[in-house]
Amino acid sequence: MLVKNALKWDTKLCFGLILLYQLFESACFSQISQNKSSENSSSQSIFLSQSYQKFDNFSCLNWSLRKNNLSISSAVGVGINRTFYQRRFFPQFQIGIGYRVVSLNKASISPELTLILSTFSTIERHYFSSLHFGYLFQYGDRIYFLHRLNAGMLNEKFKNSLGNFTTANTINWQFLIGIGYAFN
Amino acid sequence: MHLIRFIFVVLFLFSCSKKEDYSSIQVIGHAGMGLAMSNSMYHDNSKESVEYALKMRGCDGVEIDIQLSSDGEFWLYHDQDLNTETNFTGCISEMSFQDLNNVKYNSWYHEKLCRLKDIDSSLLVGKTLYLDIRTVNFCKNMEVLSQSLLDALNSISFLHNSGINTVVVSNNHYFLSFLSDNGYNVALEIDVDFDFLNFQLLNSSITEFIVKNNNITSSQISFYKSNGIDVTIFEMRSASGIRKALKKNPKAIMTDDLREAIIEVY
Repeated sequence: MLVKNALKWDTKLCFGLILLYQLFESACFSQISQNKSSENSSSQSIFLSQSYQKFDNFSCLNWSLRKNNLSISSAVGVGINRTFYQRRFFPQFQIGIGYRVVSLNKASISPELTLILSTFSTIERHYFSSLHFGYLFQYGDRIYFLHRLNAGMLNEKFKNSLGNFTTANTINWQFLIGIGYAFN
Repeated sequence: MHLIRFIFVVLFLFSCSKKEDYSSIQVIGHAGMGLAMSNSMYHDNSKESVEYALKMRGCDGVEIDIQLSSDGEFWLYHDQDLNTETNFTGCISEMSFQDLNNVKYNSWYHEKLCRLKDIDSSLLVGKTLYLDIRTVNFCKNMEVLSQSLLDALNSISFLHNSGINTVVVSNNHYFLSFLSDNGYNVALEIDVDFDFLNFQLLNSSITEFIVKNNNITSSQISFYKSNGIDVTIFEMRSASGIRKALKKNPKAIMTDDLREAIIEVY
């Protein structure tokens, strides 16, 4: 039910919100930044990732905030094949929330819920939105390696030749590896 | 943040560079959205897959595989035996509507097997419909009577709609000549060791070839064109395969990845 409701969100609105979030993230989290010294369990990090998904391989720049065991992350990136090889801009935006359940020395595992939005244009614009559930494995301290594996339902929506919107759902997956840097 | 903006602007400009113009080449969905394609939303040759493809702007038509049932109706199905893709066992040619109506694909949506006449014909207007007809009863390993196939085709009213370009595909040129004599557009599926000169002596009615992408060169296509024969290429699953096919300048490409093909053409 949760998946179904999430996929019904207006894709354009989601893109707008995430762009705004990206633009104003420093302002949004300024309070957290100021309190960093007193809150040892909170950390911010950025990481570069490469992920394999149903419709393309995506390279993304990710930002992540962890507070105690809870983490939120966002990412912007592009589909490599479509953008570079086919010369069709294929951006992707992601937001995710996870909770660290296993933490051993430098390694941790967190179940994650991730919303992925992407779009490209042919004669008409196609919108893809998917909600995934999976895990994030992280290893390292300041510089760390990470791996994410998740799957979920993907919704494709486009304006069809009759002038209406056609939509369909299918399974999508994400296999991601990345390398990151934690600021504190 | 400035860096991110800069990267996006560069990527956007890079992705906007001009591509070659292939808009005169038709884009045909192979078995709907593609045959055995992982990024297709629905199972190939299902009603859902065919109609999804036809709704996509830039799609000029679809190719579907059809087989005749024991009660004389065409059903969309690719393989010889139902057990490879569905919850049933046996050949379509040995089964009737009562059985086939309960057949479902072993896929995420369990799409029902579909009759040709159940396809939404309004989506086909202005487009090309390639019908790849199985002329063999696979269970009995014998040819189906050409007259039975013709009768079944004649019974489907939308195939005779002047707005729909119906082309019957087969590798049996005797059968195609028979259909051509009865007013159907036909296309012969040819192999790599095809003897064109011998073909010309036997068949003057066939004006289109269907051939695998790897089995034909652009010079061969030019040669066939100069002899009044159009060529449609099939079996291309990747963007690079689609691009190679487009460079050969065929009449149409029958692609297994419709989205990629539309991106390449438009």
